Amino acid sequence: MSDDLRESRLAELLCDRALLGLDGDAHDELAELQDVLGAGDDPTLEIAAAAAHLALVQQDELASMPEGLAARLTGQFEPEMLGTSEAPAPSCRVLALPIVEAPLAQAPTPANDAQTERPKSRVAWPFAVAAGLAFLLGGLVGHESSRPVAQRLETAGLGADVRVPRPDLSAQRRALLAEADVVRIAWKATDDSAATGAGGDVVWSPSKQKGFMRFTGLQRNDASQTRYQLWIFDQKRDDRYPVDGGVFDIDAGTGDIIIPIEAKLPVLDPSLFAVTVEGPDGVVVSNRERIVLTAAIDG
Amino acid sequence: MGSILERVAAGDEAAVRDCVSQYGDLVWSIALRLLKRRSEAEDAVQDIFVDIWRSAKRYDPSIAAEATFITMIARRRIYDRLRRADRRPTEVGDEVLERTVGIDADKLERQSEAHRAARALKALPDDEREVLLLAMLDGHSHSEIAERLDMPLGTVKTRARRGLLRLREQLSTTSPARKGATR
Repeated sequence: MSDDLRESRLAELLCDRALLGLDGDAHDELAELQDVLGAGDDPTLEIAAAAAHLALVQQDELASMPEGLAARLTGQFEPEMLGTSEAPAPSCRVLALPIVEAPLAQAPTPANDAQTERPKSRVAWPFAVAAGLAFLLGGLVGHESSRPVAQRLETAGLGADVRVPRPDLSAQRRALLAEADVVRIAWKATDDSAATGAGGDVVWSPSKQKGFMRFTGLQRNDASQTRYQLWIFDQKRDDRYPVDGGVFDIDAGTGDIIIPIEAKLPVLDPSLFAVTVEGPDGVVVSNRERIVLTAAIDG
Repeated sequence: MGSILERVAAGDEAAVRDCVSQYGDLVWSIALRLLKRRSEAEDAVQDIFVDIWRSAKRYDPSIAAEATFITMIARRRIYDRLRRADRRPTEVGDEVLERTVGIDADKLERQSEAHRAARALKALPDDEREVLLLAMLDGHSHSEIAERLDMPLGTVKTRARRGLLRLREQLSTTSPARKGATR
């Protein structure tokens, strides 16, 4: 490919990125072209798109954030986050781009971007009570989430929705149990109807920052109506803001269901694991009765 | 003292609250518009602000206005999220098309980047503006726009890119502070 064609393709990719972002392959292609052409990352098209977007959004009165969200946003700030972004930020090293004339090469079709790392986040709830058993007794001000669970796997009755090769979670769990620092706690069901007859356990390795939930008998959920979510209370963190351990679904199936824990922040000193039921349509204040399982350490 | 992001970058926790207060509704409005579902928008907004904290040290006011920088981060995170979910917004933006003749720069702070962007948008040829707005504001892919407007995919791409390049040109020529960013 000649340099002219490379520059044309580079311009095309930068335009696509500015408009709708790039998938993993296109992102790699962009980086390669920038490298070959000795071009720095040019943010100016993204800035132009963002400025236009800003102008359009501000044509109307802005929508107000849901109650409680601002507190969660400030609560998730930690000084060590500063300067840790892996995403490119605006830079002065730019390459002047020509206007791209037709014909244009076909841009990659947007697809699942497995290579795009999701920024780690902590869903910070204002809890009316401290962690531990008080969690069960006090007012739970909740947070609804419909995040797709990264993996939803079970050891029996494998769900048809899984599209990736499935690791043997049962074997992984057994291996984790061999770690010296692993904790294993049985779930305790509440009187929530979803938890009737439910059991299992949670295993967690602080050194590996890895864990699994095992469920038996937990009621199937309809993901269009409700989803389960794990919360991890950490004694080294503010009790009001348990660490988000991931959203998951329970399909009909037999046998144990094993789901990996996806803690969004390091869990330093866990004291309680709690599974809640959250709705899919933006409930900000959770129903207090929708705590279904808890597993308290040293309790 | 510097901008809110510069104060955030310096570790000023009061600036964190100021940032949420100043830009929370903006980010929420962008997320809600593109993601449609409040629950997903809430998650996205939290991710976006984590990214804002992480990126604060890299913010350079000579390159972009603070609100523009934050909008750019918001767009990146939201499009990442849409791509991971392998979906695009389903709502067809009739009102977006109406806005092609309804952009009012006077609603925006004069001399702000958004104000200049609004003026630049209004100055675009109608066909380029139409394609750009469908892509930028509602997140429709080139293919979806081609289908909606009943035009060849290549034409949609060409119009989108020409429009975007014109926008950039307008912004760089009307902003002394941005000249360093455009070489």
